[in-house]
Amino acid sequence: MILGQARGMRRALTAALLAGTLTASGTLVSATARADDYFTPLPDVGKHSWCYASGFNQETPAINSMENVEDQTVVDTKYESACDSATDVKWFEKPTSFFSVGEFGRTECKDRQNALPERCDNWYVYLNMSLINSSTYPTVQRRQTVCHELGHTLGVRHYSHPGSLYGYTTCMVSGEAEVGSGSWYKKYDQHHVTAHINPWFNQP
Amino acid sequence: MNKHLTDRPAHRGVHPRVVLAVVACLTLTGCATTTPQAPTTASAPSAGNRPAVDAAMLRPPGTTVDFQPYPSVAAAVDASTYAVTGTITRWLPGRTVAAEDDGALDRSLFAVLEVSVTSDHGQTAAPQTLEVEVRRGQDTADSEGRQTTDEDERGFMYRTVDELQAAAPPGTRVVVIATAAPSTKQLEGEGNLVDVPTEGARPDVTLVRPLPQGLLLEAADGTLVSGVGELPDVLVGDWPGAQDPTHATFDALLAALGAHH
Repeated sequence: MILGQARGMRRALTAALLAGTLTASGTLVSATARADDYFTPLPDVGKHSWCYASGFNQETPAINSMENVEDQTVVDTKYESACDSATDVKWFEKPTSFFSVGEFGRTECKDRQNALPERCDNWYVYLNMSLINSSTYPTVQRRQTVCHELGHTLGVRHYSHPGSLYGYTTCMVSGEAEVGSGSWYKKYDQHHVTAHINPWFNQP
Repeated sequence: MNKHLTDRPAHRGVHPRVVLAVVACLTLTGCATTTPQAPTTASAPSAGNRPAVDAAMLRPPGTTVDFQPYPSVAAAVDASTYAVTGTITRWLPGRTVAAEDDGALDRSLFAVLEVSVTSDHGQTAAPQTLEVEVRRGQDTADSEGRQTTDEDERGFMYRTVDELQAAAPPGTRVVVIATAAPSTKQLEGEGNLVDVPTEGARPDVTLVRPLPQGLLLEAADGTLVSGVGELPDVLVGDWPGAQDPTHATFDALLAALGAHH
């Protein structure tokens, strides 16, 4: 129990330091740039496993995005044919009534351990396929939204609006794709990879 | 009878205090009748009297939404059905929408924010009291509807109505830009199990859901707080404060609404 608590405190401290929210003296400070924050709670650092909810028909973009995670980052992924509470990502399609107006997707943490509340064991990712399919570039939008929501389960936040900060360099821009070409919509930018995802998953 | 039903104004569109004032006027003084007018602007509390608003508590924990923001207040109003300024009256329990999930239930939990409308900017005339369906989080339940989310993890999954009321107390000024909420019949037709709490069962009430940029409250210091999308995602383009954070004030939002109206 004591060991578990110590590990929890260490992980929380690591998360805070990686997120740039603690000074050396331990004083909480606000991050200067939101894009530099981690999205919390953060994932487990083991293999990033995934499964599909019944009725999910976007296996191809999900698989492609998981393969991109393996290609771009140090994260290993693992498909699980049967979902359980330890599966990191469960993919859903939901009708428009599930979402707010203009909402392409949503990511929710479904299970946290009380001893480690900064960690999420099980993410649910919901896709608004009706809105995605009616967007200007539906193929790009589908892949971007899948990549984007998956990015949240890896602990990264989004960039608020297309072109506002990093432009079209990453799927973590928010909202509707206004550019229908390139590779930006299926990849993470180097900042998210080298400053966030890899350091987090490289923890022992 | 449901207590809440008895609390409702007798005539929709006329504030109960206005009705009381007219009745008192007729009874006590015999004064000439005039058509009661709803107030047209939100009464602004003085800086020291604004309720404290806890932005972090207003949004569900551990949740992020990816949406296409409207580039201006006007664009959001034009894309919505209702756009009002008002004051929070109270928070009420809302619907629970449960979807089957591998033999269990994945449930979305809502609260109802009751807003006394003081100014109407929308395409459709809003009722004097607007009922806003606000997502307060999610939990899991077994197939019989028994909650399986551990109590000690509850705070990571959803907010209680009391927590929301403490986070955005009555008297807080608010702007709501919204569309009609999906009906219970529609949700059930999509395969969901919908539980409507007795206190919230008001079939005569227009229930609305805010746009991700459409639930904005006034903090104690006069700045804006967002109840759905995170503020940096909400204040984009021509929204107040998008270019200069010092302009992200409730009064600036009211000015933008008024200019459009």
